[in-house]
Amino acid sequence: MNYNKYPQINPKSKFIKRIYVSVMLFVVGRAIAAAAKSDKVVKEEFKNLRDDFMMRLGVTPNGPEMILGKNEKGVVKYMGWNSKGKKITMNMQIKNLEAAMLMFTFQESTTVATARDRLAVSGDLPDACAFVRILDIVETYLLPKIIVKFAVKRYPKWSQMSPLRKYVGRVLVYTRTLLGI
Amino acid sequence: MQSPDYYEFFNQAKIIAGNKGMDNIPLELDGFNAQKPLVLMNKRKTSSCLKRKFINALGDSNMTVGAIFDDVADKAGIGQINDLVGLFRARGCDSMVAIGGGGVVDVAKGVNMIVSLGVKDIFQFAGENKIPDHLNPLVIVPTSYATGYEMTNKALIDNKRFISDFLSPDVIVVDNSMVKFRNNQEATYLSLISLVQAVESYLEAAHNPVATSYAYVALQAIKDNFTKAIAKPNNKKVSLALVNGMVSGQISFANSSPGIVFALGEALSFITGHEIGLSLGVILPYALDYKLKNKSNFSSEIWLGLSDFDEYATTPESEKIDKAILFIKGLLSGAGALIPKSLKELNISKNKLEDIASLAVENTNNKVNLADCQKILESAWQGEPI
Amino acid sequence: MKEIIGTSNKVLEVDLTSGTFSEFTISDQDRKLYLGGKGLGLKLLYDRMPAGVDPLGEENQVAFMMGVLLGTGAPCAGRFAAVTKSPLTGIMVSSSCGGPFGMALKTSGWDGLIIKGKSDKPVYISIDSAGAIIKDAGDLWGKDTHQAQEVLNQEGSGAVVIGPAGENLVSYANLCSGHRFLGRGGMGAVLGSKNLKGIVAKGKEFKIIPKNKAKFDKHKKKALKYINANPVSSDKYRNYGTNTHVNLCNQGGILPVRNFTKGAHGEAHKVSGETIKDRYDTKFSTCKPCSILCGHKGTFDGQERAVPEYETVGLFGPNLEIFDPVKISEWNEICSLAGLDTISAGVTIGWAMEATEKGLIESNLKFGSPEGVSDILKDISERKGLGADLAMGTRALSKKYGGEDFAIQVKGMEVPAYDPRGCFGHALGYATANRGACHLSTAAFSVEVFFKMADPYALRGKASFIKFMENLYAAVNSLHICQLTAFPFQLEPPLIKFTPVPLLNIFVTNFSAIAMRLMDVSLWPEFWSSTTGVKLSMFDFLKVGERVHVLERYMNTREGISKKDDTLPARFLTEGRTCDAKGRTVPLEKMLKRYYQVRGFDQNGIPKDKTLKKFKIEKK
Repeated sequence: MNYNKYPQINPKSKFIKRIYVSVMLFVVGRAIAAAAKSDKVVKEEFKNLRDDFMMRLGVTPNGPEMILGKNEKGVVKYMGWNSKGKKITMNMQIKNLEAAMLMFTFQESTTVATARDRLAVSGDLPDACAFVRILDIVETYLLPKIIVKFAVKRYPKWSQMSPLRKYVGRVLVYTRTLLGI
Repeated sequence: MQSPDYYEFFNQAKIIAGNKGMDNIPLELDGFNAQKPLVLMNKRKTSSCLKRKFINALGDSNMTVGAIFDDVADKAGIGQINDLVGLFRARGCDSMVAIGGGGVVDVAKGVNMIVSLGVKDIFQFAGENKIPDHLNPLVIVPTSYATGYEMTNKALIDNKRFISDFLSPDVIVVDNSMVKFRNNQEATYLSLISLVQAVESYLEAAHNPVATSYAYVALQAIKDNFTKAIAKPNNKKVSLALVNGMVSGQISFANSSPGIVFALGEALSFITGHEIGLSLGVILPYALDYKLKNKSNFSSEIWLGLSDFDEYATTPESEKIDKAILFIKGLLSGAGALIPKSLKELNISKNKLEDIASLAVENTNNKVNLADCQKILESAWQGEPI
Repeated sequence: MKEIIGTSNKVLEVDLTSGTFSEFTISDQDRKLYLGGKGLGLKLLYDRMPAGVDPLGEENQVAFMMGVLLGTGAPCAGRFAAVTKSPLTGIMVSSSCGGPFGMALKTSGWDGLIIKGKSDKPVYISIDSAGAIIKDAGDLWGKDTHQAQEVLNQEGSGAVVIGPAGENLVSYANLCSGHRFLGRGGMGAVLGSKNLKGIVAKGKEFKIIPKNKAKFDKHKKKALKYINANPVSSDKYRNYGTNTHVNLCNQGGILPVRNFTKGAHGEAHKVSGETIKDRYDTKFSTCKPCSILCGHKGTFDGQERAVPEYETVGLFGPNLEIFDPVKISEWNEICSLAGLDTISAGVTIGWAMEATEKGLIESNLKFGSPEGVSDILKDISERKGLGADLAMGTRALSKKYGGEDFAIQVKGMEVPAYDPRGCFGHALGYATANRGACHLSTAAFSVEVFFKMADPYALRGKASFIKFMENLYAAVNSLHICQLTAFPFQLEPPLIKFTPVPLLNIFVTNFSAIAMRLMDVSLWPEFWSSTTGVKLSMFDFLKVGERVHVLERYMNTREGISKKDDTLPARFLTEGRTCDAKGRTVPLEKMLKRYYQVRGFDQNGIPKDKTLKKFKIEKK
């Protein structure tokens, strides 16, 4: 057999998709940190989490990642895209880049992605559930209803999130996300 | 549910089915400590784009593919297996991925036996339960072509049967993008294999509640999609459902006693060269009529697989099996010219029937009855029910 | 001596069951539509035999058809055809032979002979102009082909016999007449199953005179001029026989080596026609009459033996990695005496060597070693030990033992000595040939590799090209005349002779449908016309060929043949070779789809109703 006819294949990098997912993780990270300052419910959720809470949301094996956690003062901050030297208490791995694309192009909500086993979580389960709830709220702030409907488990009713809270929160989250404050 | 006094069920495969399923392969193999598979395909039995789709699915992973060998022969032979063992070792591979069905999976199982167990003579393992140990990880990505043994614990190499739980795949990935039927003939044949394998799980001797639950999945898939697949084989949703059904059907088949229909279909296919799906489609109605002579051969739960809950609940117990068989015949006749009505229509000469019956008995180690085989074949040849 | 003007049109029919004979006349319609030879043989059996008969059963019939040109003195027309249902393949097979039986039967006043039924004891048939007598062959049974003919020739001028292989129903036993054979498909076993040892015809009772003698002589002169001018017929074949193909195939990468795993070998020249002529004192030993003179005999190891044909040399030589012409001639002799087809025997032994290597069977057969080959040939003809299994042919063998991927056969018939991975048109020809793998169905290797008149790897136009060649040779075999006349008759006409080869290559490759229409094949139908007095244009001649091919195909589809059988061994579809840097395998599917379209077959390879209607083939 001529082995050269069947060469070894090193899969290529999906450059554009990596960039997209990186940007989305960056925005989500900063937005969560912004919502932790601007939204009462998010603040409360984070308060219930441990003091050394540090989570990593990333794509296996070498994909983009996002680190988010509480600093020494207990303030929730976006900690960057490199988990080196950080003590991660909850690790959420998206199993592959395509799964990440499905999540971040809102073809699959986080809940559906979890149900479809696209995420692997190591750490406390209550923390993971809290994170998913937080993410739903942040996505509601970031995106219009027509897109968020696909991203979240259930779009919040009027009684759960009044228009005032939504629009004021949106302005604050966007501002804080862009300025990093 | 009838609870048998004793049964066994085994399925080691993790099944991943749906959108972007193949993208999970690197992580799944990583779970087995494998990073470099040898990938096998038969480019004559699959669409040309599947290789590219597979490579794209591995993008951005840490998995290197040792080689993609897409020239696998239609039937597994020791010559090609030995050549591929050389390629496997030259590239330092540690696992196998088989894309497609038939000879591809048999060759993958054959290569796996040799490289995992470090033997030269594979035929020492021919027969039942002769493989002594676990094999390297095997991932199967089914496509629109199958012959019935892929997801099971069986392999056919140089016309010799290998049966061992260690031959079962570790991961089965049914990906949307890999299963589209190329034509309605392909859809029909795959569905027929699945149908027969599922139906035979409901035969009394084979009855095993876990196996029939897998068979139920297969039958439901066929019930909802068989006719649609014939009309529109390009429909991705329909293809996906039927291939999923096929996977379930094969798992149920692997956990049931050998059935007469599959044995006859396989023997007919071997002797005449016709596709196994076609052979099964011709024989099935006559075999069902024959078996119906003694209704206790069947479990009435077969009707549950072919109907919905309401219909099943409102059907009297005594009519369930008849309705199921009528439904199956309706499905087959709906395929029209795709399934000939008799073996005569296939221009199979009558003097071959004896050989086919004997081969069916031999292949199942005398677990099917020769006289039954002969009567069913005679009836199938004439085109007249018994 | 009495005269027959044109042809007698009389066919003798012998029933071995009842021990009686009768005769009938070929209708003008059948003569015009099928010409004679293979075509007419197929038509007669189509009318007489139902589908589904057991090839070794009483219901199978054998038609020996002499063809209109036999006995007229037309060059290279000393051949007759036989048609029957093959025990090797289970479908129709026809074969052609240059032995003396043809002339003997024709000059006994018969245009054809049909054998049916079965004798309950060994017999032979003795024929003269009055009819046939069935005689006891108890003393002949067990004799080899030469011994049997020696006895039978005391009663006539030409006989056809079976050897021990035919008596023992070896699936690829052949029929022997003189030192020529009706080789393929196991016709010897068919006669063996009828307990018929042989047939002898008195001959020399009639002289065959063409109806239009002047025209006939004019074409004969032209034909001889072409034969003597063409370098292939007048030099290559005349001097070196068909073994001239050895070097050509080796250079072209289509020589079968080591059970078709390779396409060339450094030692191939040791068995070439040129080497054999130099070393073994070769002399002519040909069909009668013949103007090409391709047949030779030589002195091998002090013994005078036939020089084996290329197929035998290729498949017992490089295919087994043996390069000793003496050994090959010895094995050729064993096969000749036993009545074994050397193509099937060589390929089967090649399979056995590879199967032994791979541990699928146990034997002492090894590539590169002549040890055990003589013994196994004898065992095959006697169906003893491993020989009993090898007597089944590679398809049945590989089904029993495995090794289907290297069983080099199509539809059950072993592949001749041209590797199709070096000539894709020829590959298509192998897959679609009606009798199974047959190099004579198209002889496309000569156009693609020897003469380089078509790109061997281009797929474009191959379907039309192969269809034309199949039609042409079906018609040629219905005349009946030697297929080697194709070289002078097709290459000498001015259009081909004076067009530069590269231009021919471009035209044949890219515009093959047009190129085939421009071919001048008029000499063949002119011979037929001038013999019978019935007009036959070149286009009608080719249409006859197409009709014969479609009829044969239809008869085979009634036996279960369809697209699933129009395939090639897995080796040709999946394994590249080292002699080809690109490691090409045959892309059959694309060519086959187009072939069915140009043939008027449906997608399953079955002739459509309108195709059958076009050729006036009544559906049965």
